[in-house]
Amino acid sequence: MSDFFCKSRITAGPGFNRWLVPPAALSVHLCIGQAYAFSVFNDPLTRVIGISAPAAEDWKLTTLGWIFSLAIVFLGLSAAFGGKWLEKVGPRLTMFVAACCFGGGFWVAALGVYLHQIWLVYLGYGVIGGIGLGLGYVSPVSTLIKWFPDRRGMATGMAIMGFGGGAMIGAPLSVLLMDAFKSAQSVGVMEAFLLMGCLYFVSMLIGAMTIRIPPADWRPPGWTPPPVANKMISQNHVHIDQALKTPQFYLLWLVLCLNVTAGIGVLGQASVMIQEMFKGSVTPAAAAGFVGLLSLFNMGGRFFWSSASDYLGRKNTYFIFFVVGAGLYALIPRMGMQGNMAMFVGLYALIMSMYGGGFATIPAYLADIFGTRYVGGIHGRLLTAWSTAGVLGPVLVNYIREYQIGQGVAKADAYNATMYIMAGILALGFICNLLIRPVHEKHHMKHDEFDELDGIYPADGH
Amino acid sequence: MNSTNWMAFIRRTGIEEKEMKQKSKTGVLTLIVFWLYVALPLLWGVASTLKKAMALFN
Repeated sequence: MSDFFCKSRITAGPGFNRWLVPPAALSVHLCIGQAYAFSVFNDPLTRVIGISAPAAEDWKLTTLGWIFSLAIVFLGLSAAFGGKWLEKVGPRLTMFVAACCFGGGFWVAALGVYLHQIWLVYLGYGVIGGIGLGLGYVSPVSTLIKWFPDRRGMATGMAIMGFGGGAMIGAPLSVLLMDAFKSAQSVGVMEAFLLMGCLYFVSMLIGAMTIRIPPADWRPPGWTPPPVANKMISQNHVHIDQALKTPQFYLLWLVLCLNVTAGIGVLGQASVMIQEMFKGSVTPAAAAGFVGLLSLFNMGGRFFWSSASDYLGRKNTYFIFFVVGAGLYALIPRMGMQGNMAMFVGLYALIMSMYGGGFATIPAYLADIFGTRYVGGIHGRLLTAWSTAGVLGPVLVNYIREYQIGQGVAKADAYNATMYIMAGILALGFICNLLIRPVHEKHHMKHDEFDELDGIYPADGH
Repeated sequence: MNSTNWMAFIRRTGIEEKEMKQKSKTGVLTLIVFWLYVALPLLWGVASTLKKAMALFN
């Protein structure tokens, strides 16, 4: 491994300002968050040959749907398998590889569009880009937690908020570029892919160059760990592989999976849902505005709730998500029946803020339970819960809706059962969260194990 | 003074540490530039989304 990427090279010297680390993390997360905005390419990709209208040989929407699904699957897989490697090599090399994969993925996909070979687009954006997504997502998390031991939630919330914000930049940027490049011979997607690959590669590279890890025994000036030990915040460390042998890992997996299942299921249906529940009063443009508003709350919730968890405690924050969330889901059908759109939008926005908050608070929860040393790797493995929920949520919502309509329920009322089932899912999450206890000391790493395992040396001096 | 003694002298007087501090000290300007680098695109994205969201209230 080149000396340039090694941990000793990126260990911060005295006087380094830790507030330089969040922008480094954000410069990666703001790029990879573009994945959530990939759907803006769907319509132009159905007209690559026909240009003004889809031709017979053009790709169908169902074919294109696999690009995003593949990217999310490879996000989960690369985060799960790359997390351990991240802890070994450090964040700079991981961010660099993420930049190569994410930027390179766009270029391979551009070649796929140029040659009109869908497998190249799958390979480019779905597989290679998906690996970039996963590595980029987990790479700054443990570094941020080590830099901000006094504000773990806020620190990770800032980065993960960037993932939500990335879609807000990615969507208008994609539209802008496609408009600039479209001509009588091209829909502009290939050119947009090429340029976006360059932009994202450079931006992520800047993050990789800026990131620093704290020296051993580093603490924020003037900060001392709380004298009264909180039993839900471990002072010990659990190895990545050992974490999989604890019930806490699986309970936290379920907590994330259930929270995301409920949120992602209704997020995907938000536009159709508001139009069907308030038939005649919500235009498609207004429904798109509603989805945009939800994205803002999703992003804001990531920062707000994870920062709040530093004061409330991680477990209590998730209790709020599950109790308040279940109540809000149960209230939505009533708001629909009463025709109270303002309340409907308000409740939905609050639900989305807690959905985002669930993503952003989980790394700090993991650090509290398993210690900070391998939190990046453990977080990577836990992200398989996200991939699972990404399939489970929309399938569940669509299936329940279709079943209801098949049973003769009016379209406007078809979501009521879905909302009550989502409330039930959150109730299950509440029980899982309730069962989370501190990890048994038999799982804690012994002092002399740190140097030996996997070549990972102790980074914070315990 | 041979090189070993010279290094020991530097360490004693703290020159080496001072140089290290100067090298790694993050300037306020650097901090502002990096935060603007991430904040400006994010604000542009938020403004575009808000503009789109206004359709709901119209």
